Amino acid sequence: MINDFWKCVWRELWRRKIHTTIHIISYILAISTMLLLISLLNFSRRVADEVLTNTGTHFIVFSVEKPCCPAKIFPESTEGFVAMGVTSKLIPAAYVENVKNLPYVKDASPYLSFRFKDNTDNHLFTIGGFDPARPVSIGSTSCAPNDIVSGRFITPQDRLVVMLERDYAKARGLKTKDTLNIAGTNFKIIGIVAPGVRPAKSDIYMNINDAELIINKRLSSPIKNTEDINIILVEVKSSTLQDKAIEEVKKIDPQLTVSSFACYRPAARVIKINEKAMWIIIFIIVMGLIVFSAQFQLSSVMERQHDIGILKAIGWSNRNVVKQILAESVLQSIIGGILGCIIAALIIYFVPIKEFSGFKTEAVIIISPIMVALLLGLSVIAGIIAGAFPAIRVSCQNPAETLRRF
Amino acid sequence: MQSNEILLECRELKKSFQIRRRNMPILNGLNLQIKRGEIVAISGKSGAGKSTLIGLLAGLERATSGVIVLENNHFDKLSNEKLALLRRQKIGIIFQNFNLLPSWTTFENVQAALMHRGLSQREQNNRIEPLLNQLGLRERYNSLPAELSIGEQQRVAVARALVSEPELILADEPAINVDAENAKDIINHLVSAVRKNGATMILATHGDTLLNICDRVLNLENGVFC
Repeated sequence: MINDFWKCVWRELWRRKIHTTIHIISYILAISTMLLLISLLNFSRRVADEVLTNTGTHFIVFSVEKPCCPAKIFPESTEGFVAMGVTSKLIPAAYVENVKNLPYVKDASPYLSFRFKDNTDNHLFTIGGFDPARPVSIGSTSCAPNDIVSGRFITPQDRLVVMLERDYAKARGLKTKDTLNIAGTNFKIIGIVAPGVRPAKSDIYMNINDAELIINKRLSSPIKNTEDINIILVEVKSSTLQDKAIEEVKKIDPQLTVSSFACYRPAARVIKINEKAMWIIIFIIVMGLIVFSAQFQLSSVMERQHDIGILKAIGWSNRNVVKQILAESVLQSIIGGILGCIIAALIIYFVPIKEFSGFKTEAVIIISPIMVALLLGLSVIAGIIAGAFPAIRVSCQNPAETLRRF
Repeated sequence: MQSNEILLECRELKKSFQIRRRNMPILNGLNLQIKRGEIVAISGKSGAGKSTLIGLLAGLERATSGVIVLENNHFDKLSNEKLALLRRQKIGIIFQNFNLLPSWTTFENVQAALMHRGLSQREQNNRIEPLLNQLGLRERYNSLPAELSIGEQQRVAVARALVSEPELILADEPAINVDAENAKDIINHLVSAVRKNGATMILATHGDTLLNICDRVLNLENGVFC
């Protein structure tokens, strides 16, 4: 009985080759397009996360309100602690650990940023003193090892060495292996960095202990970086947690100021828009597939009205007829779905889509097995819906009337 | 061989059609009793309602009123599914214009009557092949209806009706479209199969050629037998 059934199904599909081929091609196009879109969407999400990781997971914390010890030599307006180009005050170094322990924070480290006036030619420059042992937080807020353009990066063991920001080095005619005198102390230039736009960017970078040494030469009351600093560098676990992290930091001390470029926000919003557009397109494809398939199946069944009338007249039940039509529709949808997935996989494997996207990333476009299963399921559902309406329609037909008509 | 058992009975059978809002009565309270094993001819001029009666007796249509009973199965109480089952199990139909499936081969057209009955392919072959061979269609198993002559198509229609060994065979003008020699051959085969299986046959015909092979002739006029 099952053999009879499937024999009839295959026979009908095989004998109406053109019709069957067109129907299967519609499923191939729809399923492969949807699978490609979804795979590309997942890929762009991963790439976006990669980009956003470097684009909006950091900020700096400082204060512009607490009183501070004045500079010794020059007025505060010229020399002094600065953050984001404004005069900043000292904050307790203990805040670093408080921030680091917040649930959304990946890492936090202390930073001293001081503006000096050169004794010889009166030019102003900033020094940034950081802890090289905590690269996570300094990397995105200040400078990172991959910002090096010549020489090398400061290591935790290095003392009395500096890295110069590229444009500053060019302006001053300095290069690696030169010696630089800052506040009477000689420093060897070991590297030139080009960090780009960073919240805690400085002209000269050095170990925080070295920074403390030379800053204290300008202060009437010396500081210890283990007790007082003027900036906290913060790296957040994810760009989507940035806002929450900032809220938590402000709770530590309401007088703290947080500075972030917030560049993750427009990027995240644009990505969300693109995602929504993709899902709308996918929805339209699904609806289009069901409507086209139903229409196609209906026209196929209407062409076979006479045949169906004859079969019902010689004893085929409505159930047999409905099952046959549904089986034909579902079989075509399964074949089309499987071939669609294979074609999508071949396109992803052989066509350099990643290169066309313009993304420079290690991430690869992959086809999720779960997505394949879901789309095959969707294909089957589309086949059932497309076959159901014509099947029900012919099952209601009176065989005698059908035979009379033909 | 006839018996006295009533196989099929119709009581006050009426059938009318609605054509362009006009009520067109075809059968007007027809009564009929057919015994098991009988071969009955229903004669009448064209438009008398013979094909309509055949359709009603096959359960292809519902009567406007009246009762049809086949072996204690009251047609008015059966659903369409049950009527289809009855046709599959007990009735073989030969249509006036054959009604073969155009994209199915000779073998498949006959096989259609055996499908969905739980028979294996071998069992189906064992029934179909001898029948087709007897009807002179040995070389035509894989031919489509369009590739057959009218006589051959008629034989396929006969084979389809007989293959399930039904208890009741309804034949609507089985010889009208074929030449005299083919008609004689087909009818002889039909009658022989009916007699052999103890089946009952009702023939609808408007000619005289078939009347002599029948046990009884009923003349349909004005929607009743006279």
